[in-house]
Amino acid sequence: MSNETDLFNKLISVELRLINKHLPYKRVSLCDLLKMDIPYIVLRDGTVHLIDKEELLYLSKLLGEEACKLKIPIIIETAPSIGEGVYIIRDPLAKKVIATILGIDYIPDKPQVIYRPQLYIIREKLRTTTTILFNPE
Amino acid sequence: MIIGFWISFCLFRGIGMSSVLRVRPTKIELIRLKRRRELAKKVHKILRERLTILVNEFLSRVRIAYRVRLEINNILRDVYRDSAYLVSLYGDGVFDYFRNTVREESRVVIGFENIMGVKSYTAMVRKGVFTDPMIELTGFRENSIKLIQKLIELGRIERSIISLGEEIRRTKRRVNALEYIFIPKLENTIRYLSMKFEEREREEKARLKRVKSMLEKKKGVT
Repeated sequence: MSNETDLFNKLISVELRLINKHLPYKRVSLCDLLKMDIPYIVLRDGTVHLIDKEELLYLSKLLGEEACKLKIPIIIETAPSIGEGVYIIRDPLAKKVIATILGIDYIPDKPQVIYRPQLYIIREKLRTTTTILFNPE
Repeated sequence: MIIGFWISFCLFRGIGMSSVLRVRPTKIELIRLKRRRELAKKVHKILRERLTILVNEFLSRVRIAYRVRLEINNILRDVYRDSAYLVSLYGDGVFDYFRNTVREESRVVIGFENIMGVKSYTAMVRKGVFTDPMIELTGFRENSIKLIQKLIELGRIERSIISLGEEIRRTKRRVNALEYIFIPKLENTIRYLSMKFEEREREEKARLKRVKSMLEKKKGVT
């Protein structure tokens, strides 16, 4: 195999390996994070991601009694099978939060689909408590 | 003339020595290349999506940084006005007195924030504990704390803007490399190999026909 092909294989494999390294090892419940002095989560690349306490308080206010069931960070998936600029949220409570923030209908049975402009609104409000999963599907 | 036509054809189709990967001309290699092309297209799609998101994160942070700067200017004006008022009223010693009323100092926690794979510094202010015996000091202290918080926020945002900018440049280079170099090279190689195999098939057919006609001729002679 030529050097060029090697380089190409390397590039592709590295990209696929690193693309979702910013996801957490384990998602932590909102209440556990609120109990922490400095709320943080550990990511797959080993970094400690600090979470803004104000965002946590905002989320707990939004959800009320159900707040403890919410797992942080909220994972927003890209959906290349549906189309470009389409994102999916599967977690039921996260769907509720997103629907409340965006002022859209909450559908309990199906995954919540949002579009790019809506994603920017969410990211602006929940900077540290949301993350994007790049689905290579 | 034929050579000239072939060169112009190659240039037009993007086939040339540099635009084709050096691989063995086998069917297995062709299948492998086709698989690799699909993978490359997938990676390209993901990277382009990531790039779009990063660019928008960058722009939104630039907007926030601008807003925070305006807020800082306003708070700064208030803090200056209040401090001038306090100094004129109580003299320079007011700040020493002010320092004595701090029971627990404010702390800044520095850590990392991961914005879709982009590591950036972040900082949070943990407000200290104070006692305020003078009513005039309360407003000044509140504004000062707000100013420190905003300054740290601005630092965090500007740091993330720098990190995002660097990552955008890197990702853009990768996307362009895939879009303009790797995928076209793979496609050219696939096209070149398929053309080669078609040519081989045609040659084989022609050879078989010739053999057949020769055999028929021989049969006719005997």
